[in-house]
This record gives sequence, C-alpha cells and structure tokens, in this order.
Amino acid sequence: MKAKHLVLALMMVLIISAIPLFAAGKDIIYASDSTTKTLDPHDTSDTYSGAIERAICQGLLGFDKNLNIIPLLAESYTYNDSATEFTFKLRKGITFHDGAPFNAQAVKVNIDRLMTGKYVRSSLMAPVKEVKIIDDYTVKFILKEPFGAFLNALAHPGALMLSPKALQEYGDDVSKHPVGTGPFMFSEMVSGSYVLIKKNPNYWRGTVKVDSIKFVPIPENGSRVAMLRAGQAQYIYPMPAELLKLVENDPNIDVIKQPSIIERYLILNTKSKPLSDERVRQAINYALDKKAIINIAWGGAATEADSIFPSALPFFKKQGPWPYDLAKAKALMKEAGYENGFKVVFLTPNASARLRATEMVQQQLKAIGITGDIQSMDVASFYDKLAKNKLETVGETPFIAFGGWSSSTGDADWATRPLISTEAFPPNMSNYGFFEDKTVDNLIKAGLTTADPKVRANAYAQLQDYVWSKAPWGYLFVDTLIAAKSKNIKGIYPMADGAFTVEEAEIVQ
Amino acid sequence: MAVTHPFMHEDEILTIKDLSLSFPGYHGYTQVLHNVSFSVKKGETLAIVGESGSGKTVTMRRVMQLLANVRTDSGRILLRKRDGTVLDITNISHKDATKIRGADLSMIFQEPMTSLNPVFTIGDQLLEAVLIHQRISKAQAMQKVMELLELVRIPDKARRVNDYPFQLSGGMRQRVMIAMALACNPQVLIADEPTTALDVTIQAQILALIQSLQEKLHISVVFITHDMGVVAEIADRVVVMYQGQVVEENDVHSVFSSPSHPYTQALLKAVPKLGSMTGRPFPATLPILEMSKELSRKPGDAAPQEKTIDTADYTKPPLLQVRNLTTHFIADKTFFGRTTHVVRAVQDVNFDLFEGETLGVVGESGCGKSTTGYSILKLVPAQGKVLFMGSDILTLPDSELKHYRRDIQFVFQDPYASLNPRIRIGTAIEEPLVIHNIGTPEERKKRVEYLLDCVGIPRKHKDRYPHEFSGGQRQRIAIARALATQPKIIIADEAVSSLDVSIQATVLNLMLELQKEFKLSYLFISHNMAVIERVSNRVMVMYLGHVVESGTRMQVFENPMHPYTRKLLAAIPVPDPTRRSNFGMLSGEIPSTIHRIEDATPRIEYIEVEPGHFVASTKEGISFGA
Amino acid sequence: MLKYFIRRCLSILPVLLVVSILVFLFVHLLPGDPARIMAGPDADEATINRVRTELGLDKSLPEQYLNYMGRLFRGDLGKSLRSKLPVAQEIALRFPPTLYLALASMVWSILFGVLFGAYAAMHRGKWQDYTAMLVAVSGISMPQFWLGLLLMQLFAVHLGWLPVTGFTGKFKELILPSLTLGATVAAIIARFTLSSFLDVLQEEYINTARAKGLSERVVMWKHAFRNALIPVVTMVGLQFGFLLGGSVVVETVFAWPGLGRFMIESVSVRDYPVLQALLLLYSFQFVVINLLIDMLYAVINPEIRYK
Repeated sequence: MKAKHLVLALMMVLIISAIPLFAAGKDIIYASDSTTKTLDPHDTSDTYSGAIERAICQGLLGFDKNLNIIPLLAESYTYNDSATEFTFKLRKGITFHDGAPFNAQAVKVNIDRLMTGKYVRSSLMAPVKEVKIIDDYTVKFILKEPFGAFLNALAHPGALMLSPKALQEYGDDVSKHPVGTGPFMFSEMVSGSYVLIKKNPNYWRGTVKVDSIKFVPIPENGSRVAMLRAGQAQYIYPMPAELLKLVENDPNIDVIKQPSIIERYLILNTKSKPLSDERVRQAINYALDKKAIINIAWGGAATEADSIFPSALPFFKKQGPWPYDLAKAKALMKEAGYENGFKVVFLTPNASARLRATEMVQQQLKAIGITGDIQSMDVASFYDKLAKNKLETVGETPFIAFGGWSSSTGDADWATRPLISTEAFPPNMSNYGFFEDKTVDNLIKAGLTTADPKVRANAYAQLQDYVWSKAPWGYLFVDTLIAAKSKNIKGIYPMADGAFTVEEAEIVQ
Repeated sequence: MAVTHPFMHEDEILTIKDLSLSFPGYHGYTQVLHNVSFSVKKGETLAIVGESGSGKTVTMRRVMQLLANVRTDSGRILLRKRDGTVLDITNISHKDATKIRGADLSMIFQEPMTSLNPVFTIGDQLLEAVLIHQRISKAQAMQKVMELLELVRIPDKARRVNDYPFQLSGGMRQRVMIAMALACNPQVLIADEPTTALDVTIQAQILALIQSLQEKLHISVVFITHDMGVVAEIADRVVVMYQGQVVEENDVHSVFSSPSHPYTQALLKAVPKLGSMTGRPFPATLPILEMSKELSRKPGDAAPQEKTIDTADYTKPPLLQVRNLTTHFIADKTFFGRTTHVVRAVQDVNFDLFEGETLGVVGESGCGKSTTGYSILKLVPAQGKVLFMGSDILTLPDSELKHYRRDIQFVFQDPYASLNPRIRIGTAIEEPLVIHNIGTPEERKKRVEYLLDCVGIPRKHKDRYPHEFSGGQRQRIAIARALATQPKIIIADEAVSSLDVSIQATVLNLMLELQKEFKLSYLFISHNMAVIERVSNRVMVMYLGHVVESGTRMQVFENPMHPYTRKLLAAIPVPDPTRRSNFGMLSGEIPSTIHRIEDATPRIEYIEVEPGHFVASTKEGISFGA
Repeated sequence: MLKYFIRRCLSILPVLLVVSILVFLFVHLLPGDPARIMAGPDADEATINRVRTELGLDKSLPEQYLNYMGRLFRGDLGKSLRSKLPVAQEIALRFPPTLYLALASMVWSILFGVLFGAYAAMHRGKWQDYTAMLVAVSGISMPQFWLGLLLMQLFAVHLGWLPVTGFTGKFKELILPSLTLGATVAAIIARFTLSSFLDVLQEEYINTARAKGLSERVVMWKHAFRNALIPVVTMVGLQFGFLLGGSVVVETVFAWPGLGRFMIESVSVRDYPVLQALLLLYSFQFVVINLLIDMLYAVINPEIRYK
C-alpha cells in the first residue's frame, strides 16, 4: 500500500522537475574525457590543459590545423645557419586581457620565468643561453648549441606568453588566473568541475563569434555521447569509436575524424636475447596483423603505421606499412635459429583497449612460437617499471611492452630522439627498449644542427629509411582522432596532437 | 444466561473437540495433534501436562490463532462468550481473532526474557493492552495500568512503570506479563510454562500469584506444564498429553492417586519426589525403564526396582580438596580502565570430594554453582587451592594441566551445544583419547564401542551425526565422551536439567549405574533439589557465591538449619496434591552479586551443628540470605 | 553512557595516528613515480629530477613522514602535487557534491529498502514477497554503470526532463545519480530488512502482542518494525560510510565532481598529499559514523541507553 504511494510521489517529483532545459544562444559546452589540471602554460604537461591555454594565451609562434608552424605574436623571424641565434620581430599594438602591453619586455619575462628551471616546461628553454631585448619589438634568443627544432619549442603551448602584470600580481597562482592575448579570456575554474572562458572583445585578429565556451570533464564515454545527443554539450572529444553507430544516423550530429601524431608500437627489449637479433624483430613485424588489431582492439580508429613517426609530423617519409606475412616471419625465425620460438613477458597498461591490443599481439605472436604471459598494471606503475630498467641488467628479461608516443612539440626530433637515441636510455628519456645504433644517433644529431627545413628534411628522410628495417619496435598503428559536434557548431577543430583549436568557433542557425 | 450447545456444557467456557493438526515439512505434512478433545470449565485451573512434543503448547496456540502454516485436519474450537452465546472460533478471521484475544482468552509465555518487547517501557505495553478493548481516556487507562501493577504486586510501581523490560528481573517480567494478560479481564488465562525459566523461589511466588488472582477475579486458568510438582500444587483438573493425544483427563487427586494410563503411571514414577529419600543414607536409582519399554510392559512383567548406590569410600583421603576457592569477574571499570565493581561469583568455597562419592551442589541462578565447576578446572581465572591427588591444579602450568583434565571431565547442560554438529559421534567420543594420546587407533575403536555399550547407544550408530539423536541420547553420548579417558571425577553441570522427566530419569539411572561400575566421583551441580536429593551422598547449598550449608544428604534435607535452605525446600512444588505448600509466605528477589571493589567481603564462619553438618553465619550473627 | 561516548571520541585520536602511518606507507609504497607523472610522459630525466626536488620527494621516507606529520599537526594537509592547490581546499570543493549525493541516495535507499524489505517480510512466501525480492536482487546485480546510462538515456536524452550530467547545485541534477547510487544500497537494505524482520517475527513478544488482541498492522509496524530496525541501522551506517567515500562509477558516469573521482584521478598521478588526506578523511568518516550509529542505537534500543 505505502510503497505504491511512494512510487506515485516519486513520479510526481520527476514530472515537476521536468522543466525543459535550453541551450543558451552563443555559449558552447565542450565535453572531454580529460580534467583540467592547471592553467599555467609553463607548468602544464597534458595536451588538454594546453589546448585550453591556447584559447587564452598565445605564443610567438603557433601551429595551424595541420601542425605547420605559423608566426603568431611574432610578425617574422630569422635565424643563423648553425641554428644558434633566433631573432623575432614582434607584432605591435597587442595588449594582454588585463591591459598590459605585449612587447619584448613581456617576452623576456616569460622566457626568463621558464629558464628558472622550476617549471615542467622549463626543458623547452634548456638550450637557451640568453634572451636579448634588441628594441621594444625585437628579441633575440642565443642558444648554447645548435638546436634545429627550436622554432617548434616556441610554438609549443609550454612557451605561451602570460601577462607580465598577472605574473607579478599572482606569482605561481597564475595557474588559477591565466591572462594572455588570445581570443578568449579566462573567466572561472572549478577544480574537477569545469573551466569557463569568455569572448575577448578586443581580440587583435578580429571578432570572436561566440560568447563563451565551457570545458567540462565527462570521463564516461556513454555519458559524453548522451550529453551531445541531449543537446547539453555541443562538442565532444573523444567520440568513442564503439558508439559511432549511435550518432552517425543522427541528423543533428557531425562526426569529425583526424589523423593524429600518436603512434602505437611494441617496445622490444633489444638488449635481451633473442630480441637483440634484428631478424627476430623483423619476424615479429611480419607476424603482426595490424589491421585486425586496429579493427578489434581500437574500434577501427587508427591507420597502420607507415614510418617510425606519424605522417602528420613534418619531414615524414612513407616506408610501409609493414606487410603481414607469416611465411616470411617463420622463415626469419628459422634463419635466426629460433624455429621453435621462445618466451617473453608482455607488459601493458591496464586500460581496456591497450590490454585488448596486447592480448591480440600475444595471440598473433604465438603463430611464430613467441609465447608469454601478460602483466598488466596501471599507467603509472607501467612507466615506473620501464623507467627503472638499467642498461646493465635489462638484458636478463626479454619483454615486449605496449608503447605509445605523441610528439608534443609537433617536431620530428621529439618523435625520434627521446625514443631511439642512445642518450634517451632510461631514466633519461623513453628509449625503453634500449635500442642502440650509431647511424641513428648521427642522423638525429644531423636533424638538430640546423633549422634549415631542407637540410633537416634530408636528415629525417635518411633516418626513417634506415631505421624502418632495423625494427627497433613492432610497428602497430597511428591513432585516428574522432570528435563529434552539433551540426550548428563550426570552427572547432581537433588537432593531430590531440589538442583542439576554438579560435574560429561559431554557432550557425 | 447460558445457551445450551450440543458440544458444550453450561459450565464450560472453552471446548476443544476432535482437534487434529498437521505441520508442513520437507516430506509433506506431519500430523502433530490426533483428535484432541477437552474442555475448560468456568473458574477452574486446568493443567495440561506432558513432555516435549506432546502437543500441549500447540493445542493452546492453535486456540489463540498464533500458529502460521498449520493445517487443521479436523475438529472445532468453541468459546462461550460472557453473554453466554457460543462462538465457533475454529476458523475465524484475523480481525475477529483480535476481538477475542485479550478480551476472552489471553496468554502468557514461558520465556520472560523474550516475551516482552525490549524497546517499549512496560507502562507503554500495559497501556496498549488496556486500550485495545476499552474505550477510555488515556488518564483512566494509566490509572488502570497502576491498578494492574498493584494487582500483580510489583513493588515501587510508580517508578517501575517507566522501566524497560531489561531493567526487570525474570520474576518481575513474568508479573508484568500476567498484568498484561489480565488487562482486559479475560475469561481464560492460558499460561504456557510460565515458571519453567524461573528460579524455584520465584516460581513459588508466581504460582501463588496466579492462584490468588484466579480466586479474586474468578477466571479460568489453563496451565501448560511439564512439571508434575507444579500440577499437584495448583491444578483442579489435569489433562495428560502424550505424542499429540490426550491420554488421560481427570481431577488432580485421581490423576496422582490412581493414574489410569500407563504413561501417566510411568511419568509419576520418573519424577524424583522431594522427601522420598528420607531415612535412606545412600543414593538410589529411580524405578523406571525407558518410556517405550514402560508402555510396552505387560501387566504380569516384573516392575523395575530401585538400586542402591553405595560406592562412596570415606576411608581413603579425599580425591579432591578445594580450599578458599574464589572467582571474581570484572563488572565495571572507570574511564581509565580501573575496576570499580566486581561480581563475586564464588567466594571462599571449601569442600572435599571422596572416591565413589556424589557431592550435590544446589542453589538458584547466580549462586556460583556452575562457576565453582569451571574454577576447579581453571576454565575461568580462580584463586585458592584445588588439590587433586596432592597437586594444586590452579598453580599448574597449562602443559601439565592437560594431564589432569584427563582425570576430571565435564558433562554440560546442553547436549545440543556440547557436541559439534559436524563431527560423527564415534569421532567425538574418540577425540579425548586422541588429544591425550591414549592407545592405538585399533584400541581406541574398541574403547569407543565399549563406551557406546555402557551408555546404551547401539554400536552401529557411531558413524551418525548428533542431530540424528534425541536430546536424551545426545546426553548419553556426552557422558560416553566424558568417560573415554577413564576419569576419576565427572563434573555434571545441570546435566539432566534440559531433559524431559522420563528421559531425565533414565539418564540419572545411567549415571548412577556407571558410578557403581567405574567408582566415579560426581560433582553434581543442579538447581533441582529433588534430583540432588536422589543422587547425592553429601550436599552443599550455595547462595550468592557462598556455601551456606553443607553436610550429608540426610543432614541437609532432613534437618535444614540455614534459613535459605529452608526457604528453598519450602518453595519446591511436590508432586502430591495432598501436600500443597503455602507459597504465600515467600517473597523477595535474589540480590545481585555485584559489589564495589572496596566493599569488604562478609566474614563467614561455619558452625558445625552436628558432625559434618556445617551452617554459615556471619560474625555479626546474622544468617544472611533469609 | 556519556562516559562511554567521551571515551569513544578520544579513542579516535590514536586510531587516526596509526592510520596516518599506514596511509603514508601504503601511498608511498605504491609503484609509480609522481615526479615522472607530473613532468609528463615526454619529460627528460633532468626535468623529472627537478620536479622531484620541488615536491620534496628526494628526501628519505622517514624524513618525508616527519615533515608530513609536522604539517598535519599544524592542520596543514599540504598541497596537491598535481594542481598545486592546498589539499584542504581541493577536498572542500569535492566533499559537498559527494555529501549531497550520499545523503540523497541514502534517503531513496532507506525509503525503498526498508519498505520493500518490511513489505516482503509481511507477505512471506506470497507473490508480493517474491516480487519485492526480485526487484531487490535485480538492484544488487545490476551494474551501476549500466543502470546510470539507462536512466540517463530515458530521462535525459529521450524525455529531456533532467540534465544528463553535471553538478551546479540544482536538485534536478541530483535525481539520476542518487537513484543510480541508491539502487544498490536500497537492494542491500531491503534484503537485510527482510531477514531482520523475519527474525523478529519469530520472537515471543510478537506472539505477546498478538495475544493482547492487537491488530496485525500494529503488531507489524509498532512491535516488529522498531526491533527489526536495530540491526538495519548498523548496515545503513556502514553503507553511508561507503557512500561518503564517493562512488567512482556513479561519479564518472554522471561527471559528478566528488571524492570518488578525485581519488581515482589522484591515484593515477600518485598525488601523495591528496591520497593521504583522502584516506585519512575516509578513516575519520568511518570512525565518526560508527560513533553516530552507536548513538542512534541508543535511541532505538533502550537497553544500550541505560547502560
């Protein structure tokens, strides 16, 4: 009896509270799987926070949608042949949101702040010896040694310009009060809940077409899609591949796909027998059915790897994809003397897609006799384990680990040097397979000693040709980024590095 | 104005006719009542007597409509209302049943601890009962509640009315239950074993109360009991039930003087009667066999005879000497963990136990008789001396103690709890032998079979589990297990108290026969004076942790000197309606044994009134406990 | 009674001290290096070392513990390694959403759980009992994640009555997450209430109440109900303790900015100060809730009140 009344009462509550929700005119809600960690660009390590910072702050240089470097707060730049001096002419008449003028002094304040070494992104300015103010609108960077990828460092979100006034006022608390020159002004941040940015009415590049953008973290895939379908979010990223069917038939929703600069590969312990044998590593590459892994473990949202770094990065030269050929794989194993296979350990982060992919790898390598158990762990433990390997002892355990890399500077150097150079052995950087090759080291150095694109392109072309067949990794695939948006939203683009740009955002009717 | 009815005499209030009931079980319905018929007359006390499973409680709960899931196979239940009309209440609805309950028929139950709702004050619960059937104001109802408390003689009722049940003693709770049952002036009060869970002196008070109320209020009382003594004390008429049938219905004098049914006859023989041992120095068995044998005995067969047990040997030094045995428990602590109050469970107890002797320890709840047993084997922390064959058990390290535990075994009250339900009984009996590392597996097997023979359990049952045996059989198994290590002493702690009278008799006989066979010494702990009288060579009466009187059985029972012993003896219902006691003179509760830690222990001295007969008195000359 | 409660309150302190040591050890013994995580996946060793020094993680473990305890006694929980904000401030931000959610879920689950359980007990063996318990068992066995998305699809996407996710302080936002979270708890409470009720109905005082002539309704709702509730209170308290820890699943599905998600996010980046503070907070909450349960017990059960 009483239970019945209660059910009725509950229904009443639901009906009364069912006041229709409406989306406000010029406000956009951007739902993402990530949470904003900080808004201090110099102290940011994640792509998502960096992308929001880019809407508020700008650097001397920036990227266009295709990751080409473009001048932004700098009007033009010049550099010497040995890539040790870079001079920038600054744009005039730009002010920060708080009214502070943008000039050479402001640039120096920001770069000096990075050069203190206190911040996560201080490493970007590690090559810099000194910043010289030539005049109010000219600055010169003098480097300690040649660094060909320096322009990329300045285009990186870690080198965004904050208002010197705000830095003075807030100190390191600027992370909660970022002030820049960008199309949007910071309005509000509730830790764990949302970040709200509002239109900058005095934007130097022209009129901003929306009033505000609210970035909300919606970690659960299904909920994020539900937000979009219910009209409570206008743009969602990532759009989960497994739910694509649900939105593809929705007349109000567009799906955007974009090749990324995130490459996935199998880290092979090249210091351990038998993985130290090039033929064995090649055999592994022949034995991997990349297409199957993409379709089953990755929901089809990837393309096969066709070089050591993704095609969206500069200086890319196509090599592959590596063919799937079991006969050849077996022949190579026989040649290397491992006809009967051997045992390895498979390591992977326990995120479900990565675990699934590793399971498929385990399955596929069985065909050439490589067997082993999977050790899965959370991401932090995974990288901790890899970083703790030492050159002297790493040869004892042959392991195959599921790795991935995104070159946050958008440059070829950062896609190769930290991963396959000798200087990048753990714990220094991320050459977790301890791949060691003099030619590779030299070619990487050659790519860095100049900023001349032609010379650099040549070096990276040689590097890619050379290293591909050395097979330091089991090449897998390059992620495809998928976002989804309401039809009436325009001008928000996903970028190849997993960030996004909202500068041109508009709402059309 | 009485209305005549084909089944009902005018002087009858409640008539049960041909009532047959079945309960559902895993294998379909099992019939528990077989054509039960009897009537309750106006103003009488009808005792329904029987052992467990006889159907006495089921019958009356069916009348009250308190049974769920029961199937009525046949019969009718008729109630004569106050206006004389006869109402068939066999199948009345829930709603109609509530009109009769409390107003015409009311009921009180056995367990005073659980039959009152723990979360409401007794005032609330009484008020509720008063207001159910009477349209009066709350103030008037409260007035009535106070009258009821007065009626059942609750002292300090103005304060007690706001108490919760747990604040009252068992006897007080049972008084409250009676008050509640009488709240709406019922015609019939059904009392289901209302005194079974109470101490004997409290039982006497409750029986006296029910009797006096019945006279005062002219109500009929149906008294369900297993205790022939209680029947003899209060009943006008008796219905004897056995295995779901009424085997005898008669007035109380006829039932006791000339029982017609073999069951009734056997039952009366099985009850130890206080005073039946007068003038006889030695314990003796009861002249009875197992009930099934009794019932199948043909008239010409020889009746079983009593056997005298004269094994006690006082020529040797005592087997066990207990000196100044004292056991205190912590009752309350201060904020900082310092003890402020202690329970003086056992205080300066002294006794000897000789070979082949039975020392009876008797007293009411809280007197320390069980704790004395535990203390002897160091099962609770105790002080004093326990000398067994020259060694002081209390000072022995645990490793050596084990050795002595072989020689002193326990038999507990509850045969259900003391046998592990998942261990076969053969294994359970063998266990002490394994623990003490006695014999080879082959020898142990033989010993188990021999022990089963001793206690009358067929050898082939040794692989069965405890639940496959009846309560009496389980107690036999427990005894067999206690005998396994060939102990010299058995501490029997209320060993027969939870058994039905006929079973109790056969277990007692078994214990006495085993004593004769193995020269066992028993420390026989019981609240039942009649049982103690039957089995003991010597007796020790305990009260509030102290021994108040000790001596040979004849000395204590035939010449009780301490007022408490006398009170105890006076309170015992004797199964003889011609010797009704006058319980009206009894009053008072059993005081608490909790003391402040700084309180001095009373210095008790013992006066030897005749050789071996000691009576306690304090220095001030006050014989406490009266 | 009062003495007992004061003693209970004081006994919280040593418990928390022990917990703080355990929590510190536990957190620091987790594999994974916060400096490496803070510095980002592509940081070089120099950066990582700098971050490590910055965070004070280069000192020895005992030294770190002493520093930590020193600050703790001054009431300073430290700063989040991730956001650089004071931990107390971060928790203060996430506690109210979790508290509201826990309270709302508790209201639903007690209401439904106790009613369903009592209803089933009163109709033992009849269709009402089986239906109520079928619903309850479904509640226990249905994954919260699935139930949440289901409710979301129905009420937010299709009917558009309620917001899909979010927390800005409106009651409407609370309905779906609290129903989702409450469903499991309600089912557990229902099962527990049922068994507690059935136990109580076996008690003799129920027969006493019936023998007085009380109607079945009074017997059930007055005499049985309050007694049956006594064990349920403990269970409800424990459940509330768990809810106060924040539900990872529900907070994730409904993008609820509460403690559960905060915990998970902090674990994934090994944010030691936050983890320590959260674990301490959980222990504290449990101790306090236990205390509250005991007091509530005393209200319901006079036997405890008078001791």
